[in-house]
Amino acid sequence: MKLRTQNPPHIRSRESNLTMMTDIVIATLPLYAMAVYYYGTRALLLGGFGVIVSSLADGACQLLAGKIPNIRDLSGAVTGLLIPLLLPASAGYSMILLAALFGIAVAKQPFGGMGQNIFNPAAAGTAFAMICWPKSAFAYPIPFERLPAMVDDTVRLVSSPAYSLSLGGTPNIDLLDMLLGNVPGPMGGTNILVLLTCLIFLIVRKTVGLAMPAAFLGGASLMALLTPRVDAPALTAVAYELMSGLLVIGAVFLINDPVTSPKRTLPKIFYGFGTGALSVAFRHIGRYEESFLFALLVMNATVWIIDVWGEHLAHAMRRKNREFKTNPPVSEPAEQDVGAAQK
Amino acid sequence: MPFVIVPTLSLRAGLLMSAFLAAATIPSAVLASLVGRKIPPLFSLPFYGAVSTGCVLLLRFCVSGQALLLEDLGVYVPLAAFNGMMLELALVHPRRRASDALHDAVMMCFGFLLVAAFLSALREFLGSGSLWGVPLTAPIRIRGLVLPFSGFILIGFLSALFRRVDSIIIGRMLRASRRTAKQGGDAV
Repeated sequence: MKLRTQNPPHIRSRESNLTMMTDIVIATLPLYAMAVYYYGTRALLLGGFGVIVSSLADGACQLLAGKIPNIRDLSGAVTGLLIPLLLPASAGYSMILLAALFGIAVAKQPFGGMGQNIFNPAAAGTAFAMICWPKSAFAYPIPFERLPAMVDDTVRLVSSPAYSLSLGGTPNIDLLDMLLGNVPGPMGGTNILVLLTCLIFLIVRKTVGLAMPAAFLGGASLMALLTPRVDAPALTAVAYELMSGLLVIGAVFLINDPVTSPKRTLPKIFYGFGTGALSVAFRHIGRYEESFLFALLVMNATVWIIDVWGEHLAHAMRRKNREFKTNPPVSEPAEQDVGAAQK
Repeated sequence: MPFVIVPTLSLRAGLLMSAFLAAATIPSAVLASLVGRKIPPLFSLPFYGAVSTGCVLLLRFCVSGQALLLEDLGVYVPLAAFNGMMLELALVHPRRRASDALHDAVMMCFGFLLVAAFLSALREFLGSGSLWGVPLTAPIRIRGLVLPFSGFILIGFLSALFRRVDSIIIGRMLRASRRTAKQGGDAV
């Protein structure tokens, strides 16, 4: 074998922060296209505004910390793109501004910045905006009603199917409309088919895995099955629960954040399942009609202990496997054999 | 820290909380410097606790007309009698001279007053849209500021800001002293 000396790094991967973030940016483009189709160019303005604010905040915080600003990894831009998708298309620019600033300057940079944050910045910023402006955050424009660049009182705002579910009523909307996104709701959270396509794209690109989204939706479905909020057949109730609110967009973009999620597969499944179940549980007892973001932030805080347990479990399994290989179990000989041997 | 975060949702509440803390801390600190180690350690906590409780009750009697404010402060009024500043000045580090003890206690309470006033004014103005109970038009209303978690975040940022200012001042002092030392060495 011919050995060749070379300077490190010795293991290279085509994946980098930039490629992963670029994939996520590409995955959000169809959602923005659908938002423009439903609500007009205001959707693009919100997205662009979010990207600019987040990127500037990211760079400014890095400067304050004495680092060289690096916005080329697009992490700030991804946060800026996701925040408007989690809010109504009628959300004010001040709401986007504060959500982005909170997400970057409070949830991300104080913990060390990219790769070291505990909480998902987009989720934290949007949750803060929901707390500060609950009326604006949960009032949605009607699809196909074009919104002006500056929303005023003339814009008609209605509640989403999630609100009907929170009151214990069945939404007066066809499930097919919910699948196609022709319902009032968060700007990027209603187009279920497009979201699932984005998820497939990200899985094919190996930016995200299947374990966490599947476990998340499984946990949410199981909780919805056990504790239905509507008087409807079980599967219909589960479908309404999954397709309303931010569950699907959370499964695609937020729960798969590689920084704030566990590292090994089994902990990922546990984390995803727990987040899904907690999201539906919070819908029962929470104050807001949509509580996925709060459930995600709570689970983000537990990721470190899930990782520790995951490592202990992995080591234990590896040890057991090694013991099994070195000392395989010996089967006891039959009585006839013993008698024959003695003779 | 809970004293400066949870009850200070308005400027008046912040100032009143500062007054209660000062009433609990300053007399106990001065008394501890006068009494010294004459009280055995076993009895010092109940003794100084009783003194601070008495002062807090006296102040509460004086402001009993502000029923709504006192209700806003809630359980933090009786808790102020055993605040950390009083415990440190009276029990952990009793000063030998009454003037030193008075100086320490007053400066600590003044620092608390500054932070409480700033935080409570900011949270009332941006969170409730008023200042000292007078409705004002804030450029933006951030209702989340009246929640305790916002108070903790604001305290964290204030602390970071003061540490940054501190490091700049200390850096300048160090550079000045090095320059002086170098000039002295050159002269020699």
